Amino acid sequence: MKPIRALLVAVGLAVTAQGAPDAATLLRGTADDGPWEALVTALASQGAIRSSFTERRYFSIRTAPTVLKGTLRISPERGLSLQYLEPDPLVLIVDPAGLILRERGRSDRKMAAGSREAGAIASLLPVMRFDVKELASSFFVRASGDLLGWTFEFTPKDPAVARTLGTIVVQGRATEVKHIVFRRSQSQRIEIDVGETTLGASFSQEEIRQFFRGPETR
Amino acid sequence: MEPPRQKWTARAILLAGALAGFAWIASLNFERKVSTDVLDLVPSDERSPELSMVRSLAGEDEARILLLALRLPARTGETPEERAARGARAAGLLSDALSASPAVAEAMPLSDNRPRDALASTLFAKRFDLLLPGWLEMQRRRYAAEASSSGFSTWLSERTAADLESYLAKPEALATQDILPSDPLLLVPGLVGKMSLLSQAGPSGFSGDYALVWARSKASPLVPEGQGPVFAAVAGALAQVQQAEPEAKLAWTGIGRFAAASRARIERELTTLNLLSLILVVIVAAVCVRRVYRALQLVPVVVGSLLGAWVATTATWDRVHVLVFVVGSLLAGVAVDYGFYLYLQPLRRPDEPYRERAARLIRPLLASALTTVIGFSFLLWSELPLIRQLGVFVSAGLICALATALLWFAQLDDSHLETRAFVRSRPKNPGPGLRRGARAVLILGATVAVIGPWRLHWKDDIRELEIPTPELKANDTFVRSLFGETEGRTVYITRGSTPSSARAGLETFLAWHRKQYPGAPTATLGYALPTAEELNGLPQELAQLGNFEPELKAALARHGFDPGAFQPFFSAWQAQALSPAKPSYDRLATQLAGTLKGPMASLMHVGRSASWFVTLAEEPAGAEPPADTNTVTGSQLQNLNRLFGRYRVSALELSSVGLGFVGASVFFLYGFRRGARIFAVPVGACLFAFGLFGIAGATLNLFNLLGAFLGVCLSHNYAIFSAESQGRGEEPPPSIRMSAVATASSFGVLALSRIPVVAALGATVAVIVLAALAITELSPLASLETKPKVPPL
Repeated sequence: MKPIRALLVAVGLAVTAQGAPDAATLLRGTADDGPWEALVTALASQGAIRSSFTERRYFSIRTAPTVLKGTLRISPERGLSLQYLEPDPLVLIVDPAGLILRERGRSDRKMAAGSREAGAIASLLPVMRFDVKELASSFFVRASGDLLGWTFEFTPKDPAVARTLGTIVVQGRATEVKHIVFRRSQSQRIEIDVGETTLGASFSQEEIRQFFRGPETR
Repeated sequence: MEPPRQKWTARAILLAGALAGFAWIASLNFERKVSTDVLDLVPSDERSPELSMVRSLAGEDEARILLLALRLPARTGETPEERAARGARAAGLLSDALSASPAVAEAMPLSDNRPRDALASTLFAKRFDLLLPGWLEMQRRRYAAEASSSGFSTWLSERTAADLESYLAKPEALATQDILPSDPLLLVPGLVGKMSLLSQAGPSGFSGDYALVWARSKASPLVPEGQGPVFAAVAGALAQVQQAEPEAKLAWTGIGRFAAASRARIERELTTLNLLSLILVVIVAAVCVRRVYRALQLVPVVVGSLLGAWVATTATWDRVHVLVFVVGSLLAGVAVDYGFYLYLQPLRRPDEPYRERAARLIRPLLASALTTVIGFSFLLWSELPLIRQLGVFVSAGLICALATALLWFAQLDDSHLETRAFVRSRPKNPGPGLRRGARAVLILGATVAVIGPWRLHWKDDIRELEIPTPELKANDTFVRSLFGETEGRTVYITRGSTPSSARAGLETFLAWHRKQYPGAPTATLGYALPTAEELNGLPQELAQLGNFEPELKAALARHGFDPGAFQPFFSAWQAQALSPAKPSYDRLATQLAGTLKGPMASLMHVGRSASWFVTLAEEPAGAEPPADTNTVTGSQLQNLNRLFGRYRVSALELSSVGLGFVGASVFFLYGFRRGARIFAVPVGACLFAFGLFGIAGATLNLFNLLGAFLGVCLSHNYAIFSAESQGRGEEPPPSIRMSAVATASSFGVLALSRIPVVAALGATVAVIVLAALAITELSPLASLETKPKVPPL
């Protein structure tokens, strides 16, 4: 997002935040969403993003979380890419066609969009795109907080999906996402801390080749 | 006037034969007797087990699968989720309506996860029997490769905990975390990882705008019960869906659609070609003889020939392929030859009795008929049922044609038909220009015969046995692509007489595949079944792992796990270790195969006489697996084409032997010098035809070879009759010209067929016959130095 535009959005949110309720507001992706509409619009129109991230996976069988680190890339046209650097290098691509798991020395593993294998990870794409209108058809979307610290909570409407996926919580400040949580239970959850972020990033051809779906597999 | 006794005897024999023949034909059930199934062209006792398997697979469950894709146009303001839900409901409706039809064995939306859930449930419940033996064997190999100084149990505990820790960093761990307390060895997740290619291959129930439904018909798609009723069931099911979704459109495919289209087209082709052939023969007769209506006397010869051929063929085989009748019906063009020879033979004197004329002709008639029959009889040794059936059809047809011709003309008072003058005309005094022209044409023909055959290309494609249906093929490719069948992947089928032998073959195949295609992923349900050796070795392995439980708990704690969380696994492990009863291999395989429903049932089969595993590999079809793997690629087309290529070689050998006997018979009957001149005509005509095809760049197949054999036998008749006439100091009979033109016309009609192999056969025979006629006509002109009394052949 251009700095001036981001500033305008921030100013706008700062003004409207005065009237924002503290309790969670159920969003529908319409004009009725009131003050949250501007934030959602700003988050949804940030263009390409590159961020570092740290992911902590909590399993019921482990005494400490499994920690993974890497780089997150979002391209409005190509989808979402998670480049894991630690502990093992691996690239996970989420786009409208499905999922791709890319490991060195192995051919790509693909999962079709909507398949059970795609699971929770596939839901990251619409969430990170902040397409609330689309999300509202399958999730209860609730927003709370203010510009200096907001929280969106996505709960699947389908109870079966809710049992498998749990709740997705996205937290941030102004127009930056800072923290994402996939929470099935207290002992089974994933927390992602989003680090240094470049908004309006431009990806080189080599980055696109390595971290997104190639034209032959689209 | 012919003697009345001769006439009545001939009539009685003809009538008895005709009655018996028609009674036999009337008693046949043509639905059962005449097959349009391409697979009936492949011997049921095919000597190569892998080809036998392909035949059986093609005829069994695999062939009964119907793939249906339902498209619902998007509604204004509809979200993708709402549209998907509508698609799922419509797919469910379609599936329910199909299941209710007696023609359909089962149907289900592809989004129905029940078959996968049932398989997953069985795999999890029986993981220690199904997956543990192979897992232990793999760990043994890793242990040996690492040459660890620790004992196996200690090493295995540490390795298991380390692998589990590493697994948790993978994305798939999020989906399987619920079963990890029961499966820290990663038996089920490991299998799921190895099978990922299969889940990639299958869509989730939706593909683009289409909701997908899978179904299986009750009857084989190659019989009428598996066609019409199934088509009606699909149409009825769609009508039910359209009551709820009026704009729903259905694209679907199944082998039955091709089989029905092929049957209908072949039947139409049979009628058209026969009619056209008959019309042409009548036209040839009308043009060449003086009193055309008298040419009708040739019809009984043709009818007798075809009747005899049908009776002999249907009496010899339970099922006869329709192509035999399509190709064999052109026997009319050959059968009429004997009528021509007897009917058109000029009389020595106006009152020459039939018996005398027949006695004069019997030697060349028998020589030409019997040598042809001998030649075709060799086709009875062919492995290909179609060729054997054609051998009997032509041989019986020729014998019956000769017998009918001899008997029919014996009961007529006037058994001579005079040809028009132009049919008999020959140049009286051929000048040097004509001679040089004839020589030039013959030299040109000889050049083509010598050079052209070297340029020939051979290719056998079973698709050429049927009339191409491009619109059905395009629809099939489209629907299959929606179901995830894409190029760039190869399906292999590994078989064995028992589950354990099939699994052993699979192990050999997978080892070959790893070497042949390093890094190329494979997926097979065979991974879910241990080899017999692995299963038998399990009790001994478990006995050696007596200390595994405490060692694994300690290792898990070292790697940051809570050992107490794995109590479900340790309880199951203790039960497994203590359990004295182990399932037999066959029982285990049968149980696993028994859980496969719907589309999953294609992955593995356990039967009384054969079992097989399907393997999907991510590489385009390439090298064929060696024979000891008992594996073939799933491309039935490729296998059947290879089969037909082999049959061509076999047919070439047989027809060469048959041709050798034909030649030997001629040399025996006519001596070396005359025999060589007679034999040179068919051989020269055949080489010229192949030369012409070679220069034209045509690609030939098994049926060009069969056509050549037929053409050689026919043209050999012309050479015999020419030689016989020459021996008697007469000009060659006009019947040769009429016969050649009639034969070329009727086989020329075949060249118009839309069935590529039939066209190939027709074109080959027509070219050979015309070339033989040209040789018999031109060689006397070319060899003349002075005007001879009798032009030599």
